[in-house]
Amino acid sequence: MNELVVEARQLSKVYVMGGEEVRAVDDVDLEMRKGDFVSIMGPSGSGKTTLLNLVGCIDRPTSGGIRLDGQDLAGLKEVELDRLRMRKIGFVFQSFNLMPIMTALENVMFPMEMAGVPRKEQARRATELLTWVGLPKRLNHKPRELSAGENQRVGIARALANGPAILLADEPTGNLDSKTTKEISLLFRRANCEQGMTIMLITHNEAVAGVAGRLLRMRDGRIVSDS
Amino acid sequence: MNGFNMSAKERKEDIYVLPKGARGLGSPLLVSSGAEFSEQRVQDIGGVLNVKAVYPFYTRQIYFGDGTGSVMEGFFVLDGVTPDFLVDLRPSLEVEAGRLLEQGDYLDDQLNVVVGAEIARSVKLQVDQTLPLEVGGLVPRVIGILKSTGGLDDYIVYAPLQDVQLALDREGWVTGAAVTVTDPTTTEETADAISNLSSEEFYCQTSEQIAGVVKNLISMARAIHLSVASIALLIGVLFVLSTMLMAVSERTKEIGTMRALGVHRITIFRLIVTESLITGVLAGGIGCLGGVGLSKLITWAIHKFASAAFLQAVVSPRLLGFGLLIAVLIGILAGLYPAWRITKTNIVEALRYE
Repeated sequence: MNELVVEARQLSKVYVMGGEEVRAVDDVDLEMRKGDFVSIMGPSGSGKTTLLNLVGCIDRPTSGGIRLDGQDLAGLKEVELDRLRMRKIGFVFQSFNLMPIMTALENVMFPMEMAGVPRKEQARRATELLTWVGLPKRLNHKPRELSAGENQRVGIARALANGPAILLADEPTGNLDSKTTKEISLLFRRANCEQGMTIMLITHNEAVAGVAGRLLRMRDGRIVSDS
Repeated sequence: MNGFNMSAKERKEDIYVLPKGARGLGSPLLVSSGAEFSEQRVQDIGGVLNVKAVYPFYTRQIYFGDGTGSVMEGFFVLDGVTPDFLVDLRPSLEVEAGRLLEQGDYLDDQLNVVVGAEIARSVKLQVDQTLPLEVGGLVPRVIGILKSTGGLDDYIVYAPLQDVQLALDREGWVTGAAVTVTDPTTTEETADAISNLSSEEFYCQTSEQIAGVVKNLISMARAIHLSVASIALLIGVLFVLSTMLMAVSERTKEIGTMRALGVHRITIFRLIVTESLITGVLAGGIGCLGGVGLSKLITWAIHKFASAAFLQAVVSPRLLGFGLLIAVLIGILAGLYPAWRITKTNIVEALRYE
């Protein structure tokens, strides 16, 4: 049996808004094994993004615990969480969030630069990743010179740069047309099949969710189905 | 202004006798109105009680330059003095090259002159050269170049009194007289007695009065300088601060992304402060260059329109260094708050920022 990449136990995140308690994630248990491709669906405010943020170590739970790639996140210092995100988590954003002044190649090299990877190795791996996502001729283009689909491909290449344990994608096709949505969905599928990448993907699109091997549905902060 | 102050201190005269209508602060250097009084009065002044010696002088501003309108072009002060003037009243003056005026230079068939250091520098003069001008048909010949005093004497051309009077066709007339007294405690009374000789022709200023006025002028200039500098500094800080706040605020999402990618907040803090520092250094560099340019423009304007060759706006290397240091400090200070503020922002909120 594959090792556990995500193990969340009784995970809760409670916000106080206008004096009222909002349970964004409510007592969630979740396990993801290496190579799992999990898509999460649910109405707005159901807690999908909050769950992804908790797994991605950019938010801390109110209660409960998470182990990521075998490491307990409880009690980790901020700098240790930063290091964990840098090495073990790849984020893909709905609006790509690429650095506008950097080229596609530089955007993919950036996480490696921050992780202290030698410059030559950065360029080699970034070129390899951009070729893998289908942009071998767009290395030196800046985000404004690329289409939305191409930008998201760069975003995926960047997320894979440091060889993470898990890829977290929050509505990665939310800003794309249907044709590009399909292409990007298949790219995630390829990352899962060809590289054995563990993926957690949030979507409102049934077709996109369909490329994952497992579908979670959330409502009111809880996982209501896991199929 | 410091040069002016130092120069005033090194003058040994106790009283200046100035013709009615003369303006300035008594020094022959600053009397340029064209007003004059009869040289015969010098003997009367010498007879006043407590007067030790009288040194008449004839001062005229003279145009120099090559007519090209360069910064070197302007006016200098030609100061016709008696043989003992420099020896008795300017004992601290030393020559860089050549010699001081001597008895034999007086009523020579040519106009021998001793030039101040700045005049020599700006017109590139050497001993035995002639000045690029004529005074009453005579071409002044340099017999000595003074060492720089950092004061007004750097901008004066000294010549024998009688030669200047002859050349300018003003024999028997002087533009003022410097007076020394035997008892300095009664200088005021002596000045009053001199003025009373002929109050229609001349009036007196004591060195103490002049020193007081100069001191006030310097204090005022320093106060204005400090106020302007403080306001400029405040504006500079606020400008860089608002620029950095805006720049950082616009990149909230980028910074959130960097944080999500694992970049530590201290690294981002350093990046922002470094950017602010570079902005400050660049702005400081441009400001320093602008300052040098502006000072040259001001000097040119003073020489061209105010006829005051002895005044010039100077930007010293020390001042430039200080300006750059201030720019660096402003850069760092103005970057600290935006950097601190943005790195405190929650990653989730930063990623949602639009």
